[in-house]
Amino acid sequence: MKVFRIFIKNIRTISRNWSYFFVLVFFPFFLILSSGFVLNSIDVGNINVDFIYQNTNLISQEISNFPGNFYPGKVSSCIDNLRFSRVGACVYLHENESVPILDVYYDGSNKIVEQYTKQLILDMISKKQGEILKKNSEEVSKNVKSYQVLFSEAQEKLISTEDNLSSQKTELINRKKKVESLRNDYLKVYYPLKNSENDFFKTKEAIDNNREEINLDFQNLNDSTFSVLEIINNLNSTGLSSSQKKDLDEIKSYVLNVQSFLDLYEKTYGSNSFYSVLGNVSEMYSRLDEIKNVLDGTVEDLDLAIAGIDKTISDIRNYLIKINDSSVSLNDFSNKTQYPGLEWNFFSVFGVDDPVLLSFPLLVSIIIMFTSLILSNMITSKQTHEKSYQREIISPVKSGTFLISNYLINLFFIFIQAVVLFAIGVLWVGIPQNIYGLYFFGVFLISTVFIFVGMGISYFLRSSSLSSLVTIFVIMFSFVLSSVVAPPLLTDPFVKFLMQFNPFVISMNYFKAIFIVHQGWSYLSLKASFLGFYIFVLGIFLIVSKSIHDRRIGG
Amino acid sequence: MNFLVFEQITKSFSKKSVLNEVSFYVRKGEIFGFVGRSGGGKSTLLNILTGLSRADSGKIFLDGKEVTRNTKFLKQNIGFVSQTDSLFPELTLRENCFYFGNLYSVKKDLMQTRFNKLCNILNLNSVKDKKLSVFSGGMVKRANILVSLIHFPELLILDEPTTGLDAILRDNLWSYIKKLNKSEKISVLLVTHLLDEVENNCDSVGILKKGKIVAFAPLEDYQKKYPGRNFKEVFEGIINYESI
Repeated sequence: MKVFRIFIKNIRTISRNWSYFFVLVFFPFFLILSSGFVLNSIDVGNINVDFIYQNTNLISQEISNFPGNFYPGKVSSCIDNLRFSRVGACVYLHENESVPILDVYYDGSNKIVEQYTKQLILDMISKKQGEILKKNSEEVSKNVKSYQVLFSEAQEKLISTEDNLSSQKTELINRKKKVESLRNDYLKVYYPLKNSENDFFKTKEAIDNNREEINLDFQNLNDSTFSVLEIINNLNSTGLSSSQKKDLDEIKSYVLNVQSFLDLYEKTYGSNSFYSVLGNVSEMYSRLDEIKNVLDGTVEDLDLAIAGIDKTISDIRNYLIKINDSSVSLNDFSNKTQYPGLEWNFFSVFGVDDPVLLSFPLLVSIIIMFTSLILSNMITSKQTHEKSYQREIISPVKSGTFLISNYLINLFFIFIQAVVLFAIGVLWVGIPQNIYGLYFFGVFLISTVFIFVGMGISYFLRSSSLSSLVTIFVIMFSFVLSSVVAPPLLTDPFVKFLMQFNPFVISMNYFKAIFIVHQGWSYLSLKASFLGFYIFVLGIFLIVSKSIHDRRIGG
Repeated sequence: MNFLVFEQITKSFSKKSVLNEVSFYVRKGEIFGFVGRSGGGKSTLLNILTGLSRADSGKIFLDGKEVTRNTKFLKQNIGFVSQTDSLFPELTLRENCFYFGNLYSVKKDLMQTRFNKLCNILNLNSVKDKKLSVFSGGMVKRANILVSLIHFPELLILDEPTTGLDAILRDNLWSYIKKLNKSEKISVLLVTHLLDEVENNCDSVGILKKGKIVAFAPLEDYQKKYPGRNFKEVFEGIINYESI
């Protein structure tokens, strides 16, 4: 009951001061609106970039499309502009051994601006380089494809040649078989002929030696037949009896036969043809070896030709293997060089791009922390430095009663702010309505932590100005040890470790979890436990601080 | 009858003795004045009396009950008016009064009656529902006294109650205090350095010097012992040379 009375008194004393209303209601409202306005206007495209070039040849088609101001001159003037924030970045275009070089100068005094500037420049360059790379890779791919076709055609031709050679080889083998067969047949004749060669030449020599005598004998015999026939004819004219005539006819017939025989003989042996034949036979003997040599040579030549074809086929096969390997390599290379353009997409895992919504956890955390700390410090300072405080502590009311009611009055005003923030969040920012339980529970825990800190500092320190300064220091320290100054992802593990214990960081993560990630009680219980632990420790600190403060008043 | 009794009260800070075996008593219904130079231990004495500080040794009795450690009883039965304004300027007199009355667990109807009565005595009827921020200096002093008495204390402790008031307002305020003393039978313990106030208004006076009571007697005893001298001369003499 006394807590309630003290609470009502506090409400009255604070609510009758319009500056409090301004600070508690209008300021957060204004802060959210201005933050939304600022955040919505953020775009890396707003960074002014000056391009300074040595000569116009350096401004290629790609570079000329970059957003920014192009002018010839020295980079130093642009750097001066950069130092005074008149431009966001200076890009100096020059060349080294015909290679165009872009020197980018940026404002390194602000890490966020530095990152945004680098992002802008890299976006521009990577986009253009990507296009060039894509164009070149298409060209390479096209050439590689034509080489692939050539390879393929060469492969086909070589395979066809190999087939032709194989069939030629088969034909040569067949021919070789035939020649070998012919040679075998020939050898069958050759060796007997060869064996008879000596006898033949002996006979021929003998024939050649008897040839005159035979011819003389033959001539004599032939002449004799004509003489006989003349005799017979003469006898017939003599009137011989028929039987005699008959006998004479038989003799005549016989002599004619002999004559015919002699004619035949003369025709056969009497002319030069017989000797010509003998000569031819002699020639034949002399040609037998040549024929044999030709046949042997033909077989050898065929063997050589077949071996040559085999070697050619082997070479062709090796070429085919090499072409195949080259074709595979070329194919791989073609696949590698077929640069698909490397398109990239960025996706927010939360599925929202609204910068105000994404920043809302930070804004709420800042407002809750700032208000909790400053308000609790101010109210407590105001109370403890007012003369009425002494009147209060000499009353028979327990010290804890004042602590609780002071805490409640801070919590009350922060909840007014929290309601305003929630309404703004639901109506304008788009946070879901159904998270109100988690939201107000979080506000309760977080504001309690900071109220305890603010009250504790105020009780602990005698001077109100010193306690305000320390409170501001706590706020600044909370900012420094949070993502406001440096994103935890970029910090080293020790800093990251420290950051996770910062109630402000816990607050941001808590609100992020419910506003954006839409997490439930189970996920938030650990953070809530952390905050609960802080409340316990800071509660002890607060009690001790008040006790020290009151004892100080008592002298 | 002794209403408040201090017996051998000793208090030290960092081994420096601030109160050294201080003994005195305040009779029921009397106005008791405590005087002394700065650093004499008056503030420490008041802190012990109001329960803000505890004595290292000695005993305190209030209305016959030992309250050395039982500060709740002590706090419940004393009203304290500090030399500076100790009310909330944003609240009205009624709100201030009812707020502090509540801290002392005074029932609402009793508080209402008491408030009206004290307003009559202290002539604050016209500003009952006005914020203290619009009060004049004298009204604020009276309002402080009113709030200090809302819970029916039997001992009113006044710490330099007329600081910042001109002579007329001081007399005026003392007339109200005396009126309350008479009508409500309230014992008054006054701590001041204004010796004429003590001379004009107190029944008994204690003189504190360097943490010790160097004189403690009804005012008339001082006048008897130092005839023809005003209290200022008596005080100077005692502080500088002797004790009674």
